[in-house]
Amino acid sequence: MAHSVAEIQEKINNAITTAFKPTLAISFGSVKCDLPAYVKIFDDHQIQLFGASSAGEFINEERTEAAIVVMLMDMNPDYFEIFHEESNFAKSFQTGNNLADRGLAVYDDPAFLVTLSMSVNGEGLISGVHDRIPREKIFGGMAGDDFEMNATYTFINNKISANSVTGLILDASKIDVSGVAFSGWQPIGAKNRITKSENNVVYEINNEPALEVVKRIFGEFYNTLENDNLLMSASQYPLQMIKDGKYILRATLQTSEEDQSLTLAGPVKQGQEFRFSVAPGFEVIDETINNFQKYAVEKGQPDAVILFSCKARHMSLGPLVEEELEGIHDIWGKDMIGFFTYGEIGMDLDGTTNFYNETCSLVTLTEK
Amino acid sequence: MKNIQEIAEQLGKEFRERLGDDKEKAAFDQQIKALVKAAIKSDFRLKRTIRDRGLSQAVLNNTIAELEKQKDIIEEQSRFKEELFASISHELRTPLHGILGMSHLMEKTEMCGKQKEYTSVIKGSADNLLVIINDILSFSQMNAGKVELVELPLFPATIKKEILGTLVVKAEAKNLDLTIDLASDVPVALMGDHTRLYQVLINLLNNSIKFTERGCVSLKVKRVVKYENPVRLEFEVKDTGRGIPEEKLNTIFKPFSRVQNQAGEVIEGAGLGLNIVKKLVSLMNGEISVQSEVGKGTCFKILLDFPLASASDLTEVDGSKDSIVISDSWQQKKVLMIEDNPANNLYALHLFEDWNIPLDIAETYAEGLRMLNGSKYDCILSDVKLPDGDGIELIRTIRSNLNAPNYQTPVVILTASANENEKIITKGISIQNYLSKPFRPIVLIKEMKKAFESNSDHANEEVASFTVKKQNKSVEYFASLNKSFGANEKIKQEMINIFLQQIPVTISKLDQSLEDQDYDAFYFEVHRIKSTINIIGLPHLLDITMILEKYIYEKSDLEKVAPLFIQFKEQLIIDQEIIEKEWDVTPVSIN
Repeated sequence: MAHSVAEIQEKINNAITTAFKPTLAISFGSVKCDLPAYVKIFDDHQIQLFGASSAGEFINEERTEAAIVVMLMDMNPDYFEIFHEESNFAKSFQTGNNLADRGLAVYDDPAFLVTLSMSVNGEGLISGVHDRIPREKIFGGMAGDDFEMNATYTFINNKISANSVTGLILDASKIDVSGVAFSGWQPIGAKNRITKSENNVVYEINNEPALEVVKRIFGEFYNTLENDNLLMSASQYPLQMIKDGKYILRATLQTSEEDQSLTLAGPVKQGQEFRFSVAPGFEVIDETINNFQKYAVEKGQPDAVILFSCKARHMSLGPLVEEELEGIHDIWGKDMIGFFTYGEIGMDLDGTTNFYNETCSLVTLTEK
Repeated sequence: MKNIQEIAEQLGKEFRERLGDDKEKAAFDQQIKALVKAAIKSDFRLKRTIRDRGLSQAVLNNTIAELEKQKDIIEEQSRFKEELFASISHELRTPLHGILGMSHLMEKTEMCGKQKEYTSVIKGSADNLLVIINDILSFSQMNAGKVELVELPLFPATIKKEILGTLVVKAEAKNLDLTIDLASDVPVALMGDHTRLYQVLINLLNNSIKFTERGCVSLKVKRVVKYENPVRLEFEVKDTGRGIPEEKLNTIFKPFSRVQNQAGEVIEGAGLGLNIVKKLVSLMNGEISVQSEVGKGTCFKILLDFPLASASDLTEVDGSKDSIVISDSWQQKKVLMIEDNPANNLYALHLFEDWNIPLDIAETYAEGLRMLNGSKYDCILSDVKLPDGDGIELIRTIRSNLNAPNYQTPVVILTASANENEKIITKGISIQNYLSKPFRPIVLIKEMKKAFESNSDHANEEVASFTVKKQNKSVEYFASLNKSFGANEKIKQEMINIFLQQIPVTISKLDQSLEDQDYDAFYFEVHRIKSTINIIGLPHLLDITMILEKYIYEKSDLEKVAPLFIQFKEQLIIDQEIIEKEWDVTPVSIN
């Protein structure tokens, strides 16, 4: 962990020894750091970089902001490949197809870690992969930008882009890639219906301007705690929708006073019914840890743990999110890296892969 | 939170200075840091808890507000639905009234075979349409909880007659045998809602005819337990139709549940009939069950309780049902009908001509107002929706002028809207009654009687009855005999004997005259035996006799005389058994 490119470069240099020659860097960093410069430092060490900009980062149980975190791994280069493609909302499915095709081209049984810009449709990306690989193994997170809501980036060596998908394709016959995601958000209030929307922008709820409805329901509670702007608060009251009999949360990424719209961290369909939801009590921290503990019993000891945790979750749990990170890290005591995301790709407790919000998506990598 | 941190650091600073080496200071710093962190977390927990509590309350308040809003919307929609139903009802029932009225009049004219057939089809189709409209309205009213049962004298034989009158043509058109069997122990007069019972039975029988291609459809009515009051009747509607698959038996009572015919086409109708039946039966505190076998037929059974009609019940509806009392003095009365539908007007003119009551007609609001201001009427019949105004408003106008000639004239509102809404909007003005179109002549003439008698100081004047005048009578047997002859058992015994001797002769004469279609002779015999029956006090037999007498006198329902005469003989057998129990007589055989 470091707060500048120079500092991280120094730390990387120090970490590399004759005994430890990393081949892969998994890294997440704040847009406040010089990320374009940062992505250039890995070539010299022949390390392949997989990463994304973040909305807060953590390594093991330590949470930080405006910093860069990196996990160096000496994984056999034959077992992984980096994928990067320029993409956008409309192209997401095709990008998913391309990622899956590349995975199948290099490995019989590919698994994927992905990062995606917020301009990409997470659901579309997963559908694109699923289209080629029905029992897909895909985990990841949507890049953040410290809630500036300007642009979020994915990066590889020498390349950083605000409209892209970066994939770490892994040979699942050599590296076990598994994970589980858990939310805990609770539905609240009556059922509502999205009456006007386009892609991931909701204009009307129950035939009323969307933002007006949200403000009416949550009123003064928008501006409590440390969140003094509407956007940050709106993200805490995600829309809980029913998809294939399951609840999917869609957090608000952006609001517009001008057209009274809500921009969600995932696509929604016009006519879709939903209920607003609120953050659970602090007991969710223990519930999350318990769920991951059950998963750990089945999985044994991993080599690395990667965590994609929603930024809205961080905001709701406040400083107590560190207790969650600490509890998760303590399960294995292994190296853990992660960031606060604008969306998570993971597998829920029923084994379904989806693009979520307000979720804590955990991935373990274990060399076979 | 900065405050906590600053305070902690400030306090810590003093202690830190007192510490010895750097190691101690570092440990102290660590402790302060942990303390600050714990304080920040506690502070956050507290704020979140407060926020969550407030948030829950805010969401709850909003949910309540939303629910209230939804409730208002639903109530508004419900009002709109009722208005829509009322409007549809009016728009459909008004022309239907014309069709039914005209076909009724056409049936009385000279027609060739084809014309009779076509008229019958027109009437049958209009009747069908009326059933569907009534079904939709009943469904709407029941869902709105607006159906209330009335308890009035109810005559099973009359219902039987009405059902046969409605369905015989339909059954014959499909070559089905339609039979209605009233068991001999079914009382002649009960207390209940005639209209609703008719609606239940006609719905079931209509369905049976619809779904039966060959064989028969029957209604059997029997008393479940004898000599009980209230009387529990079992109505069994049975057919030899296609039957209902077992898996569908649970859904047939649901609204809009419709089945397909063998060709896979949905059978006509709104799919509301059985739902209405079930709701009505439930409203009458009854039970309904169904058994069916595919390919063999279906059997619906309904159990309903009806109190026996008492003498006072029957007195209250003197002249009800099928009897009309018309006074010669009514020729001096004047009635104004304000109605824009020419067919309805023609029908009314015909009826009033038959009754010898002068009738004026106004076809518009303006014309109505002019005529009402110009002369005094004894009764006003007014439609609600007139081409140039509202009939209710017209009445309100004449009621508001104390000097208007018709300020106090009784008003009967004629409405095609079968629901109650129009009653509400007339609140505040005096209305004698509301008649839902298409109305039956008997109902209209009863309203005339009421209006004329309310105007007259001679309400009890002698009237020349050209039809049957129903007598005050008791369902108790021999009441009039006991009243007339008191304790004189000898005379009473003689009266009984005369009656029993007279009966076989009368029956024989009635049989013969019926066979010869000599209705004058038949009328003479019926009229004669009626007075004896009345003196003895055989209430049920008297009912039947009076109806028989009316049919013959009016010569309008002659085809119903034969079945009613059979019923007369059946009732006679029952009455004879009762006489034999009470009196010392030798049984007399009746053919």
